[in-house]
Amino acid sequence: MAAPILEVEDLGVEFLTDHGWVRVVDGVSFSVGEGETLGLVGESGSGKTVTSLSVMQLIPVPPGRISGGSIRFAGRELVGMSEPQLEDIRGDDIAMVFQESMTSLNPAFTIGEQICEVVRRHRGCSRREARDRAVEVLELVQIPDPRSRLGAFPHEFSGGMRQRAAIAMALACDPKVLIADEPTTALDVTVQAQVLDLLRSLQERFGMAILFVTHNLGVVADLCDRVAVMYAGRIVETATVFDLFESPQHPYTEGLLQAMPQLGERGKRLAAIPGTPPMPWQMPTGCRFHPRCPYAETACTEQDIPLRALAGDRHVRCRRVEELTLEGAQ
Amino acid sequence: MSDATASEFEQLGASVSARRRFLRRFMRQRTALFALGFLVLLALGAVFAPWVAPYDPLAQNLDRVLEAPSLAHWFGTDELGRDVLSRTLFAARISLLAAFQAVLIALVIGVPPGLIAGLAGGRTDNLIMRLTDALMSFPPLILAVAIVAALGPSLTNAMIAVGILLSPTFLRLMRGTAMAVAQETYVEAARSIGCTQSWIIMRHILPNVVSPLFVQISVFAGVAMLAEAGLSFLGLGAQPPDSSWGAMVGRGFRYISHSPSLIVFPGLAIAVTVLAFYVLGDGLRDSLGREIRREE
Amino acid sequence: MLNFILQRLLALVPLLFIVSLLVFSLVLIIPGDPAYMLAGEDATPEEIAAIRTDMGLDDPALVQYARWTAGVLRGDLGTSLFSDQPVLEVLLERLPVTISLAAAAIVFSLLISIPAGVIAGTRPGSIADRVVTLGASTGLAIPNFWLGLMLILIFAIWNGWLPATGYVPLSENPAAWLRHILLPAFTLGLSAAAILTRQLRGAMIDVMNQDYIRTARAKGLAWRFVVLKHALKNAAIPMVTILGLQANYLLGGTVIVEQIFGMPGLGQLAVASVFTRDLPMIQGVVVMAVFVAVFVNLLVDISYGWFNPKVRPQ
Repeated sequence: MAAPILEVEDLGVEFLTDHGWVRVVDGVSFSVGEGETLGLVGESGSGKTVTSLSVMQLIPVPPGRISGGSIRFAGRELVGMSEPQLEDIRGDDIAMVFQESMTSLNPAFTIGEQICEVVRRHRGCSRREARDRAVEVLELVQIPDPRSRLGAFPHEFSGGMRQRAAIAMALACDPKVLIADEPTTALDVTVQAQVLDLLRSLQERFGMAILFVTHNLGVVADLCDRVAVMYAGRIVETATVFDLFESPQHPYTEGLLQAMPQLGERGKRLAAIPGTPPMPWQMPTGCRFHPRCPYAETACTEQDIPLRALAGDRHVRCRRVEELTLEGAQ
Repeated sequence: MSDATASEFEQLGASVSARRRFLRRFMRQRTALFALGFLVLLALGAVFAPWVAPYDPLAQNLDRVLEAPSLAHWFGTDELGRDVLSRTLFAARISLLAAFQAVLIALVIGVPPGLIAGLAGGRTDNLIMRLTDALMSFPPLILAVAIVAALGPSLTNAMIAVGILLSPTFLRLMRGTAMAVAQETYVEAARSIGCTQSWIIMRHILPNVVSPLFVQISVFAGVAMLAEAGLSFLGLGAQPPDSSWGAMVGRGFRYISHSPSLIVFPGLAIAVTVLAFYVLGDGLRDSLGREIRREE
Repeated sequence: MLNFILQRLLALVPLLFIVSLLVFSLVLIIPGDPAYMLAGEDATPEEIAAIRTDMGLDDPALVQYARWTAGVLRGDLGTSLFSDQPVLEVLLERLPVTISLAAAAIVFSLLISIPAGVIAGTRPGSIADRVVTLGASTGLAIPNFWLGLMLILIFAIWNGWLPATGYVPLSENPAAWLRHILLPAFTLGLSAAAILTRQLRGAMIDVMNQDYIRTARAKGLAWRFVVLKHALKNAAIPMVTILGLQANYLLGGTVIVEQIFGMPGLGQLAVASVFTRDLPMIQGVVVMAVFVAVFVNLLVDISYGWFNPKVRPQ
């Protein structure tokens, strides 16, 4: 693995709810190397989005708070950093692309204005230079006739175009880390593929690290080098994409793989994972997955399961990892 | 048929428990309860003014004109030596009654056409809404002044004018509810089995609209009181010897530099009462719960 | 853009038609005979009949309406029964007073409501928010004539800082204009300020939870900048609508405020005309007021496009 540019260690995030302070992210650790793409995978409510927002220090406070742990960008600690310093990093060193381009772009300003704004904030350049840069990045994301498109408003773009514009906005200052939170989920399938291709080619060209947050393992296989699987606020397994798909070590990962439609297996039934993820204020004791796990034993319910290191830079949070042989995907 | 009855029962059950929930929520609104208490006290004070007031509001005492507040006359005396506290209490009768009258007129003018527009739809609806839009394009107080000018200055005429001004909101509320209800499947079902229009109105529309209507009535009682006060202040509302709070301020205007108390007390009475109506309205609205508030 | 404005003007035609019917019908509901009033108490029945014929009061209502409307369209609003001056002339003389009062009131209400609404709306539930919310409710409940009198009492009678009554045209002496307009504008604008504050507060709370605010923060923009640029422009959209409605109320409010502060505007004219039963003048005031209100709402519609690109004509 290349030198880590982003390291998250033992991150804990809590939210104040009707049930008191509830921990939605609990002891999450991962790192992303320079130029690497890490997939952060989990169902909705698993804490993956909160984790990615914490990296940007953008969880809403209140009702949220980072209760512990450390987030380091290029060796600099982000937790507890002053707001002006964080603002210098946001959009410049670490940029973010969100899920819904319809709602994440401001409807009242032109695309050009929204891109120029971030360039001027971090580069301190003139209006004209910012416009030139905006045209450049719009060209990068393959928006045709970018100069005339600067004056367009978000609602005048199609969904795919908007998401491209959002990516252009994120890339405008050459970030070292790009956080993409389900950037293709709201798009049509064909457009999804185009946007993923675009992200891949942009990464090959500029070599930024990507933290790719998704619930879709298919997308992960397409784009990522390594994967961290989250369940109920915790990481349950990390591995390279190849290892994870070939031989998942955690029953939850296996469940996700089984639930994924695969080419050439038309007759096979998709196996949904039974039950639903727990609410963060009523986490099961022991392994948090045990109520839904086909391999659970009484011992699984008794005490917290640590994340164990396996050979080949893999980690897994399952006490039966040695005994079980789980089914992978092709 | 069985479908209609089943959903009808659901509807009935839902509306009963909704009303109970509404009451329970309302009882938790302290400021709104306080406002309601104030309004009830004020109404009692107005009704029993002849027994509560320390003096006859019309008894003149030319030896003691334009006096500042004192122990004998808590709110002072006016230009004819009449007791301002007693006059304020008696004026509450006129002010409250006038506000009530205006809201009632607005309901009478606004509710039936609103129901008709909502249920009939099409051309009828279009015509009624055009009229409403035109009515709302007038600057309100100027329209009121014009109506009073045509009918002649009197409190009743002023309140007719205010009622006309307030009616579009009731009309829109009724129309919106009627339209929403008319599209419900159980109403279509009821219609298909031959239930009459008036049955639909009584059974389905009115129960749905009662709560938001009360919110609007409470707020509009405040608005009507302000409008009455303004018109009476200009001399276009309550005529002597009757006196409302607004009329008292209008008469006191002439003595503003000698006896500010002539203006201060009736003005405060208006402000506090109107605020009470607003707070009550806010409390009622908050008690309605999300599902209804969103429709507004 | 021109097309858009033309469309709007066309859409106004039916509205103005109904308005003209309503204004005209004032003549029909008036109790008593205008000719009788005009002729005076000692007039003989023949004199009254002559006046009736002269004024066309014997014609069917429809003919009278057609004549009146034709006059209005030509700019002829009739002659004052009280002063014999052409109504339009009197109205145009007084219009600037009312416009400058209403405009000053709008400026004032924006100066109050924007900061108050932003502060309350970005920190809902805070002490500042509660103070603003309570202040707004109180501002709505205070009768404007009473507020005006209290202001006169405090600032003119007790302290003598500002004049209690009168009006000086802006073109004549800007400083004197400001001194004369300050109290009336405050009086007239307070309830609008309260309504706008409540509206903006609600809109800000809504907007601050939008995804694009998070996006703007993710770009490294400072919180204050995000609030004032990204949030405020979006929150202003519903506020502009309310401002259009408020313009109507402000025009109405001038009736009272001009009376208190002795300003020779349309509102004062309207009240005076009621007491002299000068019906053509009252009709004229109403027509003029509707005209101004419609014009203001047209301006609001146009400005709406700047705030909300989605409704902008292509």
